[in-house]
Amino acid sequence: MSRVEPNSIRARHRDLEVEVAEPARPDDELRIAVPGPHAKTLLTRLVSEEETAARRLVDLTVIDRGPGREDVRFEVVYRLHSSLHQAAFRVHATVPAADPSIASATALWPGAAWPEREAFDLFGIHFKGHPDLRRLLLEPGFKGAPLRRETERAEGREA
Amino acid sequence: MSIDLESTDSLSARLGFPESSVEVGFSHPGVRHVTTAAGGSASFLVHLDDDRITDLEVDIGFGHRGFEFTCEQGDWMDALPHVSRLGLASGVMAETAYCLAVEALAGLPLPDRAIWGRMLANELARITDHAARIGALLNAIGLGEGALVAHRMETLGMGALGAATGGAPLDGYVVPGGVRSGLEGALLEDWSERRAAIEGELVILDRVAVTNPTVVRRLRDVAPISADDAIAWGVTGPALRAAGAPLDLRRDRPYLAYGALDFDVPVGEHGDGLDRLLVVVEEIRQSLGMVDQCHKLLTSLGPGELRASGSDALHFAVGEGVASVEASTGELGFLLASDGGGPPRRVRCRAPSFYNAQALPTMLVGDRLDDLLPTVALLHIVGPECDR
Repeated sequence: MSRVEPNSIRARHRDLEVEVAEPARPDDELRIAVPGPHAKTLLTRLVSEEETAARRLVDLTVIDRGPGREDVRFEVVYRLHSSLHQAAFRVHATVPAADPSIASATALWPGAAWPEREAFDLFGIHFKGHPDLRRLLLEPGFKGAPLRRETERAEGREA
Repeated sequence: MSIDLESTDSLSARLGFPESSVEVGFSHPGVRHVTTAAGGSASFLVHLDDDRITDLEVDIGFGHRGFEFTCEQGDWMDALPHVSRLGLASGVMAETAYCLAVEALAGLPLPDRAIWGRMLANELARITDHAARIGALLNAIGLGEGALVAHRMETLGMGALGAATGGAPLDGYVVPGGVRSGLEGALLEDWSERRAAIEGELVILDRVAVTNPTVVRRLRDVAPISADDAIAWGVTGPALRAAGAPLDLRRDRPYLAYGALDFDVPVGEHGDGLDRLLVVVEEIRQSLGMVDQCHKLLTSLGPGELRASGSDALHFAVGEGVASVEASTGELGFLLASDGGGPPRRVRCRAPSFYNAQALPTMLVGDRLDDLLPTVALLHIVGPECDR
């Protein structure tokens, strides 16, 4: 239940260039888009400020929007939950293809360690400040990032 | 060589090898035995001082089969058989989470029979899965007779689940827009008998496991985790509730019609193995009550629509669909991204076992090597879901 108003998020984090989507239903996750370099600041605020109190990292993953959108190709997605407000947030931090890196969230949640390693493993995203960034699911010598969309799906399937 | 008997150092230190390490898994017969029926696949590098665990490295991925990659190759429906196979009994819960996310994306309303049928299947799956983990625990401790009782209960649960879903598990009962089969099968008539049989096993299990001094001694104060640590590491499910954090998505962010059900959320105090066992056993009781309520309502609903009209030709908006369910191991969620028409842009599964396994070092450092397998068994690291 999104008891946190989208407008209050917009107003509080205007300096971080956030874009908050209007939720279709009141209990939907609040979708917040933010440029990658501001992501850690935004996450820190969402966790520590009483208005949001999103203490729990539900999940961390990546969406590859595909080649052709080089500046906003990757989105690192953080799903957060606040037991205090029974509210859920989803932060989409955009990362360019030329420099696929973002600050690690392990200082906020130690539990971000494995999902960040997984994202490094499967998408080749570098998490700066991660204590132990190495492959998790694939074998150590594996080459490439298999979940990346180097070719768009439709082409890939026909080929 | 003389040994200083006055020293407070460990025996290993006094003998001149203060640190040793031992690899457990992934082909360790004990690991295979105690993790789920689907076969666990984690490997552990345990650093020891005597038999005290000083550090633990958990290595996963031996069962990685590119689940998310595979789901992104085909249509939205093509992913369903893979989703079912994230667990055995708990596959129904994964199906539920996936379909809820698809329905959020497609804006599909659910018929009543499908909502209550899904809840019934989910709770039967929880009973089955919890019985499986208790069996694994008792095996790991070495109480084979108790494990047999738990296994009988698991079989009864699986039978009821089969009767409710109209087939074997992993058959894709939950589909986008509804469920595949009604409860015309055996369950509506003979649920009271099946329930009595499961309750009978629960009574025996209480004696052989929950109040058994051996079990209590092996679990009390073992592998504890605080509520704050559990949240920081992403632990969910019975392990989090045993640590004292009363988080249950069925109550806190109700999906399907869980808001209309009457049930309690058991919460522990110490976050140790014993609390985890007590929470799991109580959850079986609560689930039995929930199945009763679903059964009653489904009987009164009578035959009716099982899938929403338009389920066969789904139209997807551009955007994301998310859903999380309270699975037997914890929060199981899906994040789906769609480009409008065509195959999925992204299929992401938030697997509870993946996050729970990550917290094992926090729980186990300071405990004994012998506590590793019971803890893994009771935490219920489901291999296919953890490695995907």
